[in-house]
Amino acid sequence: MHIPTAFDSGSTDILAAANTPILWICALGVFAVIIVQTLIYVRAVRQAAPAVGMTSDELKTSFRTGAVSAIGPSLAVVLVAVALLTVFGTPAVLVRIGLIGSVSYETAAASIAAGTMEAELGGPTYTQSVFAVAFMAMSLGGAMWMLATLIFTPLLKRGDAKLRRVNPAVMIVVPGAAMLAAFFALGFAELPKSGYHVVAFFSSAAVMGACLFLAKQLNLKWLREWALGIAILTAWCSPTWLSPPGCSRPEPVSEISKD
Amino acid sequence: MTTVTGNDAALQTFDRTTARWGRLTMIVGLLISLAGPAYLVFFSGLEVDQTKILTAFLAIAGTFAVIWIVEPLTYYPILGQASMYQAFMIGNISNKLLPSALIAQSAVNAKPGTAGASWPRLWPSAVRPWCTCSRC
Repeated sequence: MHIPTAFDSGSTDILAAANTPILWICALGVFAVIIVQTLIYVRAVRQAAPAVGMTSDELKTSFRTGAVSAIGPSLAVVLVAVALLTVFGTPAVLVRIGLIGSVSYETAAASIAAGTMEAELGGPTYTQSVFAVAFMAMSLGGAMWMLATLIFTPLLKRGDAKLRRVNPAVMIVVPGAAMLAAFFALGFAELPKSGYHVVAFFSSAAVMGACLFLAKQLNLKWLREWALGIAILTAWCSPTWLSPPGCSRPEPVSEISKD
Repeated sequence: MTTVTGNDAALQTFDRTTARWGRLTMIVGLLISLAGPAYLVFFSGLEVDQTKILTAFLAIAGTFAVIWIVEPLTYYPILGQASMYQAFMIGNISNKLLPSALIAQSAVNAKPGTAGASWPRLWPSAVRPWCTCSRC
């Protein structure tokens, strides 16, 4: 059963199609799944914590700190997502950018998909059927990450356990090295883009270092929890110190891959 | 091996629970996320040429297929099994989830005298190098 008036393949009124109740229900469904998963994980952590010497106070602190630290990055995502509401409609933005994918992948995927139909996102060629194809294609692409995760994780887990038995030190060094390399590569890729990127990169690094140093020296626990938020805000504002008043802010620093 | 059997049992339960439910919730999330666009394509009455979807998908794959494979492989040693199912469903891994997890870790580690023997194994393996306990 569908409402014939809402859909018209040639219409450029994307939002008429993009705000269909069914899409809203799917968006809320994904929301619900993530909430359920979170509750199951929190419960599993709580049950395992005492056996491994983690107190409930430590649990509370870590949950709270994680939540506080996620505020800054989440705000950054929200700001970009708002700009895309008119292109994809609210439910699609919620699912693709807020819950499952990321801004950089979804917009790239959608414009690649639209390009194969010789259409342009938001342009006069961007009809409801182009939107439907682009939305389907970017969702399928996003699903590939989950599929790869579902296939590889059990395999890697087996290898991980074997490696740990043979040489536990390897599994301690490898994550640290991988992490350092990943963050450095992500940050480094932004540097050549402009002077603003360089300033943002170094000012956030300096602020993060300063926050953690002060937190350690003065034993300020709250500063540790807020350090990430403060560093992100600084990085965000720093390019505007360079530009003359009235100058528009440069594009937010974005990443290439899904996350 | 200095581990106590009770601890290992607790961690095994944690691994089992998160593996089973993490996988299950991820599959459900995957299906619901595809249900929306599938409705638009197949049931909304929009005339959508299905070969166009294939073309568009292949074009996206041309750019991202390598990342689809490489990211789960490279993030595994950082995240560990449980977090994989969480992180790759939610997305925004390197710009939100990992930093938040790290800061949360360091906030707990900062408390003196609380370094448990093996509790870091509960967390993504990435945080272990930052731990001050004797085992790490």
